[in-house]
Amino acid sequence: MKDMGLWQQFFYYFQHNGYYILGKFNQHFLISIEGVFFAALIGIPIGALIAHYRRLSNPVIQVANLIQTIPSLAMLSILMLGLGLGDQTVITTIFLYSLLPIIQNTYTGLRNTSPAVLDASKGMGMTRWQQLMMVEIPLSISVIMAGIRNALVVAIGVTAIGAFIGAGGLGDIIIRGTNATNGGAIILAGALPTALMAIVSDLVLGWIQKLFSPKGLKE
Amino acid sequence: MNDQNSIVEFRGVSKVYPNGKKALEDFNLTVHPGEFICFIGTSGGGKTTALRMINRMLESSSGQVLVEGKNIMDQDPIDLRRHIGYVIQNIGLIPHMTIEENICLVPKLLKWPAEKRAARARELIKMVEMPEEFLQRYPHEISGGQQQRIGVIRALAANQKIMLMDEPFGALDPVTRQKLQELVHYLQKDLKKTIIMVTHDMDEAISLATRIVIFDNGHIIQSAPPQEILQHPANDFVRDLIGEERLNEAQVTLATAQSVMLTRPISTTAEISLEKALAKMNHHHIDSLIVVDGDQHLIGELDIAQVIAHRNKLDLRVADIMGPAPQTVFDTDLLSSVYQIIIKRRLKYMPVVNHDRQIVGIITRSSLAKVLYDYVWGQEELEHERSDRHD
Repeated sequence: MKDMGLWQQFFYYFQHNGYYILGKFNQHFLISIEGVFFAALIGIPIGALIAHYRRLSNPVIQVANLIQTIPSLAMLSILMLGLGLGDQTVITTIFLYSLLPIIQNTYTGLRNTSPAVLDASKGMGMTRWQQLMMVEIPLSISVIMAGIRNALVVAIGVTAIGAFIGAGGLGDIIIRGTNATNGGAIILAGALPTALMAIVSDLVLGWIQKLFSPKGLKE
Repeated sequence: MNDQNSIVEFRGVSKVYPNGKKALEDFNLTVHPGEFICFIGTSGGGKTTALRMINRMLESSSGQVLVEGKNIMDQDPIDLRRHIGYVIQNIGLIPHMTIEENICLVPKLLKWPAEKRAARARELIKMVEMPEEFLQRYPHEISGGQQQRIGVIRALAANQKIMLMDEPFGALDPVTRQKLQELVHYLQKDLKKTIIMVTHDMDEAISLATRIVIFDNGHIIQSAPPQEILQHPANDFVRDLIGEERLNEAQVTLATAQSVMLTRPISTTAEISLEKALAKMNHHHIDSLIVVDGDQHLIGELDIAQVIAHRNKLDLRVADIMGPAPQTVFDTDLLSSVYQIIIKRRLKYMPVVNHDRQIVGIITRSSLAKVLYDYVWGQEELEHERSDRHD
């Protein structure tokens, strides 16, 4: 091993621990997705709510902003006190971090629906719910998707740190590398797939975003 | 005490906005089926407020609004809106829906079956003379004028009887606007829609409305057919709104026979002698006399030519030689039609009668000259009259 270069070591590690890395990759991805998923589940309705009851928008977005300012390591440690070690703590952290981009984008998207379109759809006799589901959400879906995309990229980064509190994922491999003497190749074996995951999921979500954005909207 | 014949009725409606601004005050208006009402007035005069109250986009602070005899506050606003067409200035087509989906939005909300909706969309797009392929396009793929045409037919897709239009053509160029005006005129005239339209464009109101309602400061200043508003503007505000130019024009095109006729025409009874009749002609420098009975009903005409023919028998009575009664016009007839008759038949004058057929005046060719003169030279005399009236 010693006489191999960094990249040779890297490929060697990959060849011998391929399934291990794949397993960690999967775990990492699932943790990130899970946190963002819950954030979307809660954040989109909150965004819709504050778009309707506008007075609530400032306090809500401010709270979400405040959460965002806490460094991820600090957040993990604080939550760990309550939730203990393991992936729930990381998922909760991701959930909290994802709220801001999702709520804010949902809010912005819905608020930006043309007043004329809203006036017409109300005047033609749509219920508030129909307006939301048939007009506002379809028209702002790509902005909402952009928020989710943003959240997921951040989540992948947070999950990497989450390994410190025993959540698993590619962060495990990075930590192993930092603990080993001359562990550069191992660090890369964890870090490169993490980066790759962030880039690829951003691209894929970008593609989905395009797929979702309604036809008939000017490019 | 419902007025059975009203389709929209405002009863003592007031609207005060939360900021204390009074948009409408004790507003009363009855709209009959098939009417084309134009709301016109200054911005902030309350016209849009009044319009939006009809489909409960706004709710009154006090008073009642009735649609087809029912208080709208007793109805579900969603259901009410689905039965009233709504067209706005900014069109408001839903951008991610095709033209067909846009047209059929209300039918869809009313849960019409898909085939019926599709048929309705085809029927309507044909009505506005657009190709059927357009149904599959998206709003941004058609021009602004076409979009508003879709906006208009969307408002009647579910056979709504009432259409509310809030400055629907304000943003369009004059040519497109005119086409759309023809469309809504057709809707009211041939499809018997009741249309209530807010507009800033007085020409639009005059050409489309069966009744113009003029707003200022939350009150109705005048509510009358266009002709009447042009002829008898209620006050200076209305006069300013209509504009001097249109008023002058209206003086010519909408003036009645009464407004230009010479009153106290020289007439005679049939019983007097030709000699006396001749003396009368001479005295007034005229060449013919109209002959009336005791109730001022026209019975004949005596021309100087007839007197000359009987110049040796001046003791005859007028009744013996007078000609038949000349053609008359009513005092309420429009000057434009009187003008047509006088010119075409080469008449020297026409007697003007009231609805009891009594003579009230005559119109001569020289009265027409005066009207034309006034129009060309800016109404100097009318100006004087007007300032007199104000004093």
